[in-house]
Amino acid sequence: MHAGLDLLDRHVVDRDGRAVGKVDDLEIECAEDGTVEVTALLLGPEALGRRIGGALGRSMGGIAARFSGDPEPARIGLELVEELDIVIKLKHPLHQLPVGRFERWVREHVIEPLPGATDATG
Amino acid sequence: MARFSAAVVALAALLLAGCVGPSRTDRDYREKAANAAESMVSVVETARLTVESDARGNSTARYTSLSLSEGEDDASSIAMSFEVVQPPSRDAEQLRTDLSSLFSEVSTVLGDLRIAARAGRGHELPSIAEPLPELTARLKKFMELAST
Amino acid sequence: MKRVLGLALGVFTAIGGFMDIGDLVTDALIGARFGLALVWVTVVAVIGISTYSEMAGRVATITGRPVFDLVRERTGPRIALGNVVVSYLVNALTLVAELCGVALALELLSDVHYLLWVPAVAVLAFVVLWKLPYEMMERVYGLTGLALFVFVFAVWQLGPDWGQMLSDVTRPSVPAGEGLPTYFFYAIVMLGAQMTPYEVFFFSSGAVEHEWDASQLLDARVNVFLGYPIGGALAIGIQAVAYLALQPAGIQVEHLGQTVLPVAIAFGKIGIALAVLGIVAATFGSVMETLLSSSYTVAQHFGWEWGKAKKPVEASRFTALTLLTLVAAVGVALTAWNPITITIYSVYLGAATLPFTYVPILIVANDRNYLGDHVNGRLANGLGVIYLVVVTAAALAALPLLIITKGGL
Repeated sequence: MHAGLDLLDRHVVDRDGRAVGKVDDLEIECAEDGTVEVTALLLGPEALGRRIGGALGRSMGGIAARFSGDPEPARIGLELVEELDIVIKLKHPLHQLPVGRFERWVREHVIEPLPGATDATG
Repeated sequence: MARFSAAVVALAALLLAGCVGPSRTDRDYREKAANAAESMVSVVETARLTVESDARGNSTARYTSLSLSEGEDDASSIAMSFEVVQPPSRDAEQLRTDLSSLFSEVSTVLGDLRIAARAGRGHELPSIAEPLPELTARLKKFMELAST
Repeated sequence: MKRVLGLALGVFTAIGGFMDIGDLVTDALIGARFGLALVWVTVVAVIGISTYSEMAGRVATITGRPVFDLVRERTGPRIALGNVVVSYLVNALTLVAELCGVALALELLSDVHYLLWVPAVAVLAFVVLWKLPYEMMERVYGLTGLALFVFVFAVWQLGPDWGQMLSDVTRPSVPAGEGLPTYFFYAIVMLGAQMTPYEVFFFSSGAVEHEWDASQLLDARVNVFLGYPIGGALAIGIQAVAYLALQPAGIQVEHLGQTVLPVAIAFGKIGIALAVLGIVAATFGSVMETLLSSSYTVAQHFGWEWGKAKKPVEASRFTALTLLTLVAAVGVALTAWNPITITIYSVYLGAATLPFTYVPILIVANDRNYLGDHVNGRLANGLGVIYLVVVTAAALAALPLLIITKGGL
């Protein structure tokens, strides 16, 4: 459980170092003998909203769910984790991971239509 | 607890009243007059220094005319804020009349300065600005009212 | 030469931070009203912001992550979220003030009303965000901002009594007619104007945008220890010329033009040109700093990909938020709310929220998990704690003093 607390709010990156998000919550399983095990990282406003709780948390989760049409947060199973350091590094690149709905939506609908969106300024 | 809340509300009301309210005493009113005079001195002196710089070739036409326009606007808003306040006594009414008429003189000079500057008649500015130092002196007499 | 240009981030941050519209107005206002009696606050501010920027820069170079990235882990989600919301709002309000500041400076040069300049400035900000390389942004606006040294040179030109000046600086006294509460109110205002929150966010994120690593720790430090004293020198210059030219005449500063007046008296048209050029560059730099800082803090809190140097498509949410913030700021500016009033509010709110900015930095800079052996030494912690006390005291005193002095009247 102590390791679980350490994981919370940590930054998560993909195999190439790209930002995936923050660990907003954890999926845990209780075994019959009373031990508790972290099984997955949960990312996204739905997860964060649940954790913050209260009216604010619920509205965060609600808005996010309306946007993506799915009330469940993005889930990264622990088997996908490569390394635990200052940041949590995952084994796969971003496009192979079940995250990034919001970013993709913004990219397609807001940024790409603008001219020069694919040019790096450096 | 209730008494404490009442005290806080009373204090807040007092402070808020002090901000913009009517002057209940002559002393209050004199202080308002002195503050208005002090603000007006700032406007007059800014105009004077601007005209002086302009006369020496130290200012651009644009800077001079913008500065004088702002001065004219400031003067009228200072005058208006002061004149809106109800004088609490006959003496205060007299004070108001005197100071208002001084403010009027200031506004006239600043208006003339602004017009000349914007019309490109910069060479006329020093002569139009001649009354300014005397106006400052008279305003400063009103500033002393706060300490009486 | 490369070494010198490498200092551009520090100079840019400092000039944008120390010479933004808030400083330009408050330095002149304070110089005209209190003379040199508050110069010590500038010295205090320079030491304080240098201390915390060094910590933020150290975190960025050693961990490769900006401070705000790590804050959430240390303070928990509720507090961090509160912090982000407050930071974003204060930064965004400051952005409105800076947009107006550039517009007001351009008004001094042209016959165009400042409100008409605001959208033009926003368009330029968009172009700089979208197209101009990060380093060029720093160099162009940071180095052009050095034109503000005309204020410092104007001190000499106005032929002061140096002995008297030195005495006024080292033995400050409240001028006749001013009360002690007003004196301390303006001390807090000036502290807030000079230790603005966005400076540290920006420096920390800028270090990461530059991809500085542990081998550039010294570079980061030189940036800090050179940049902020330069900013401080300029701030003192503006106070000094206001003290020399405006205070004797009883002029109260309410317009940007009055800030420039002493330079006109000292150097004439060239002085005005240099001062306005410096003001435009510095306030535009602040526009970019506050704009980017607003989105940096949000993106870093939520773990989004971020970076001005990145392609917009690679950091879509960050870029979209930046654009949205810019448009919203223009909207607020165009309500024609008095820009000097907005400026004073943003400075005051900045002062009131300083502890929120600095506490997390102190916490992260002491964490061995992140910094290993590079955690704060005794000096950094000593100064860090002292300044935390100072800014907290200032933040607590801000509201009572505002009420007592009726907003500094």
